[in-house]
Amino acid sequence: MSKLLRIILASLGLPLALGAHPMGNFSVSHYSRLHFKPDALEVTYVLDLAEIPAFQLLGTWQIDWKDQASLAAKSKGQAAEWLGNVSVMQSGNRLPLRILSASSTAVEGAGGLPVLRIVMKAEVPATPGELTYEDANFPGRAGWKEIVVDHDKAVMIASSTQTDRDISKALTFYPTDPAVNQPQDVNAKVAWSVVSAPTPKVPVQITSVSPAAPAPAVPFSAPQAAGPGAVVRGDYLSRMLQKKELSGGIILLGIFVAFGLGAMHAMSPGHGKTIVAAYLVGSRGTLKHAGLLGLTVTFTHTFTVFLLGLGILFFQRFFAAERVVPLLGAVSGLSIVAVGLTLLYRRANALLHGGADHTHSVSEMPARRSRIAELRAAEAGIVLPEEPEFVHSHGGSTHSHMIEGDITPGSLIALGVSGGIVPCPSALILMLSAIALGHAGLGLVLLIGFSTGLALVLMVCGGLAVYAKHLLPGGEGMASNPAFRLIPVFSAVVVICLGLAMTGVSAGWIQPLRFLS
Amino acid sequence: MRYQTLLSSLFCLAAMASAQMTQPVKFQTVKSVQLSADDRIAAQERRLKDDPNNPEVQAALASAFIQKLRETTDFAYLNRAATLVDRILTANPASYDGLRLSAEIETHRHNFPRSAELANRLLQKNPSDSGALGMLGDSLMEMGQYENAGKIYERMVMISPNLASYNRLAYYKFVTGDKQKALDWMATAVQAGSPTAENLAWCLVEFGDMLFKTGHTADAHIVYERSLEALPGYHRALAALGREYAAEGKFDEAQASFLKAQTVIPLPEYAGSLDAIYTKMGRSTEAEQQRQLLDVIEKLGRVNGEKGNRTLALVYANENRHLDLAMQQITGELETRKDVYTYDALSWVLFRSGKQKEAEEASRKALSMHTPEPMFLYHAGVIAMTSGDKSAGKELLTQALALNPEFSWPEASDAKERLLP
Repeated sequence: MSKLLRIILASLGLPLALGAHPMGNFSVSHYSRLHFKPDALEVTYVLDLAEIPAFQLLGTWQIDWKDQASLAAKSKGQAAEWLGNVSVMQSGNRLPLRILSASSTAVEGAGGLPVLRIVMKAEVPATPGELTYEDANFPGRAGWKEIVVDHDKAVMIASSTQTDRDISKALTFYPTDPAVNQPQDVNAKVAWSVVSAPTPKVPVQITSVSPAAPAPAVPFSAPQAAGPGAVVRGDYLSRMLQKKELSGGIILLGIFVAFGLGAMHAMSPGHGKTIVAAYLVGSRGTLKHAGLLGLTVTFTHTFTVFLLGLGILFFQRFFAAERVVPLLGAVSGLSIVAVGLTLLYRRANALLHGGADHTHSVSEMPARRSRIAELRAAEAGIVLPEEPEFVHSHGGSTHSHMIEGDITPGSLIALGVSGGIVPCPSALILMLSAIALGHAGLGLVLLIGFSTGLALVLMVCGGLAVYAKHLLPGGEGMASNPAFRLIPVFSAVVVICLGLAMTGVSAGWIQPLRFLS
Repeated sequence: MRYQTLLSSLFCLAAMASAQMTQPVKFQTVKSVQLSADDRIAAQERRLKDDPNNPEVQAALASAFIQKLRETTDFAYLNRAATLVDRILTANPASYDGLRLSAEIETHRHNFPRSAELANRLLQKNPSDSGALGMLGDSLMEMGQYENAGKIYERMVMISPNLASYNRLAYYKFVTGDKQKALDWMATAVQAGSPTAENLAWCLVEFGDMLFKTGHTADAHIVYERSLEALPGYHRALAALGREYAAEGKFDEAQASFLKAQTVIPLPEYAGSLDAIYTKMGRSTEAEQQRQLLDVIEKLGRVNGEKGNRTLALVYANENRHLDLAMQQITGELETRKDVYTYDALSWVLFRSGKQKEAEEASRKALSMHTPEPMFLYHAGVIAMTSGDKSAGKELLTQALALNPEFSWPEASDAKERLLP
C-alpha cells in the first residue's frame, strides 16, 4: 500500500483498495462487444463490479458470494434487468435483445471482500443498415467503459464510432499507463452491410462520439467507399456473379461493365497517374511507351489480385488482407523510389558532365534540336542534317550527354509493376466474390476487363503527358536553357517523392485523411 | 502595505457593487460551456501519442485527469495525473507546470501542509499566479489559518476575478461569520460562470448549501435544481436535495434522491443519511444494509491504511455506534486538518464517547469563527445542555433554529424538543 494511495483514500472520505481493483473500490466497469452477423447483432456485455458495488449487489441478492450455484442463478435473473437498460435502436425502433447466457464470477478483492464479473450474451435480429447502441446501466458511476465493434466475414462495417480494438480484453486487463486512453464509451453508432462473399477483415476507422459535437460517421476504407468505379454489394457485377448460369451476352456485358468500372475507378485519386506522367514527361516517352506501361499495369494488377484472392481464401486463417495490402503498397512505393533514384542518378550525372568542370566546345557538343524544330522543318520540307552522336569518349571514358529518352524496357516494366502490384480493394472484392461463388474463371475475365479499363486511363494519362510535353515552347534557345535541362532531373525527383509518399502511406507513417480533414 | 490593503478593499467593494448592479435577480443567468473532461482527456491523449515527451502536453493531460477526478471521485485519475507529473519533474525538477500540478495533487490528497509549501514556492517565482494563490488559500483554510487565507483570497480576486476566486472568498466570508457577504460573493461567482460544467455545478451546490443553512430554503432548492441542469446526475446536487427533502419531512423524495446520488458514488454521508431515512420509514432491512455498507467502507479504509475520515466519524457518532472507530477517524483527520468543521466533528464524537470536557473544548474551537452553521450550534447546544449549562445550551439551539427552523433532519426536531419547557 503506497503512501500516495493512503493519502488519496483519506482525501475524499472514501477508502479504496490498491491492488484489489485498479479502477477504484466503488467503480463499475462496462464492456460491450458488438459482433455483427449477416442477420443479427450479437452482444457480449460484461460488468465488473468492484468491492463496494459488489457488496451492495450481493446484499440485495442476499447470498454468500462463495455460493457459486446461487450466484449463477441470481446473475441470470439480474441479466434481464441489466440488458433491459441496454438499447439497440434501428430506424427509430428498439430491437428486442434475446438473452443467450449469463454467468458471474466472484473473486476476493481488498479486505476479503468480493469483486464480481458478470458476462452476458444476447442476440438481436437486425437487418443491414445503421443502428445505435446505448448502455444506460450505472449512469455516472466511475469505471472503464469500452465498446468494441467487430463482424463476421460476410459482413462489412461501413462506418462505426468504435473500432475492433479491445483494450481491456473484456475487462480482464486495465492499462495503467496514463498515455493509454481509458475509454468512456456508452454509445455506439454503426452502419453495416452484408457482402455476398467473405471479405477481407479491414480495420474500422474511428469516428468521434462526443456528445457535444457528434462527428459524422465516415466510410472506413476503400472497399466500402462508393467512389467512382467501386464494386459494391448490389451492383450489376455482384448480382451477375450470383447467377448460376450465364449466357454469352451477359458475360460480354459483364466484361464491358467491369471495363467501365475499372476506367472510372482509375479516375479516382491515386493509381500512379502522376507517377506515370512524371516519368514519361521526364523521359521523353512516346505513345508506345505509354501503351507498354499500361499493359504492364494491367497484367500486374490482374495477376496480383488473382493471386491475393486465392491466397486469402486459402490462408485466411493465418493472415489478414489488411496486413498484406500495406506491405504490397510499401514494396510498390520503394520500387518507385528505386526507379526514381536510378533516373535521378543518370540524369544528374549527365547534367553534371555538361557542367563547368566538363566543358565542350560548340562544335563538340551541339545543342540538341527540339522536337518542334524537327516538326517545323518537316512541314517546310527542309531536310535537317543528322544529329551528331551524343555518346562519345574523353580519355577512354565513354558517356552520354543525352539527358532525354532514357527509357529502358527494364525501368518501364519496373514502373508498371509498381503501379499495378497494389490491388484495388474493389477488384479484390470482385475476385473474392467470384471465387467464393464458384465463378473463378468468370471472375478472372471480369478482373482482366476491370484492369484493362484501369490501365486504359493510365495509358491515356501517359499519352496526354507525352502530347502536352510537345506543347512546351521549342527552339534551340529553350533547349539549351539550363532550367529546361533541369526538367528531367526535377521529374525524377517527383517520382522519388511520390514513391516515398506511397511508401509512407502504406506503412502508416503518413495519414492523408488527417490532412484532408 | 497599507496601500495594497486599501487597493484590495476598494477593488473588492467595486467588484461586489458591480455584481449587485448587474444582477437584479441573483443567480438568474448561469454560464457554462459543456467542456467535458473526457473531451479534454481524449484530445490531450492524441497529442501525447504524437509527442510523448512533451511536458506541456503531459501537463495538459494531467490537468484534465484532475478535472475528471473532480467529476467522478475516481482516484485512478489522480494516480494517472501523478504519474505524468512525476515524468515532468523527473525530466525537469524545476518545471513550473510540474510543481503547480504537484501542489494541486497534494490538495486533492488533503496533504495541506505540503500543498501550501509548494504553492508558496510557486508564488515566489510568480506572485500573480492566481491558481497558486487559490491552492495556498485552500490549504490555509483547511489548516485553520483563516486570517492569512482571507488575505490570499482577496489577492486572488484582484488578480483573477472569476468563479474560482469569488467562491473562495465567499467560503472564507461564510466560515468567518459574514453570511451576507458570503451569499453576495457566491452569487457573483455563479454569475461569472465557468467553461467547465462541473465547476459551475459544484459552486451552485455550495451556494445552495449556504442559502439553505441561512434559512433561504426555497432559493436553495432552485439553486440545487440549477446545479443539476448544469451537470445532470450530479451526485452532490442530488444529495443536497435529499437533505432538503428530509428536512421538510418528504422522506420518500429524500430517499429517492440520496439513492440516486449513491448510485453515482457511495460516499459514507449518503449511506448515513439513507440509514436514518430508512429507519424513520420503518424499512429496517434497507437501513441495516446501509450500516453494513458503512462498515465495508470503514473496513476498506483500514485495510488501505487510511488515517482519518471526518465524514465517517461524524456518521458513526450520529448513529451512536463504533465510537472507538469514529475517534480513530477524527483524530487521524485532525493531523492535517484543523479547521472549524473538523473541530465540530471532533466535539460530537467526543460527546458521544462520553468525554464531556474535551467535547466542550472542541465545541468552543468549532464556534470560534462564528460560522453560521446550524449544525455547529446544535452540537454545541446539546453539549452545553448536557454539561448542565442549560441556558447557554438553549441559546445555542435557538440560534441554530433562527438560522433555519428546519436546518436538518432529525437535528432540528430534536432541538425544538429540547427547547420545550
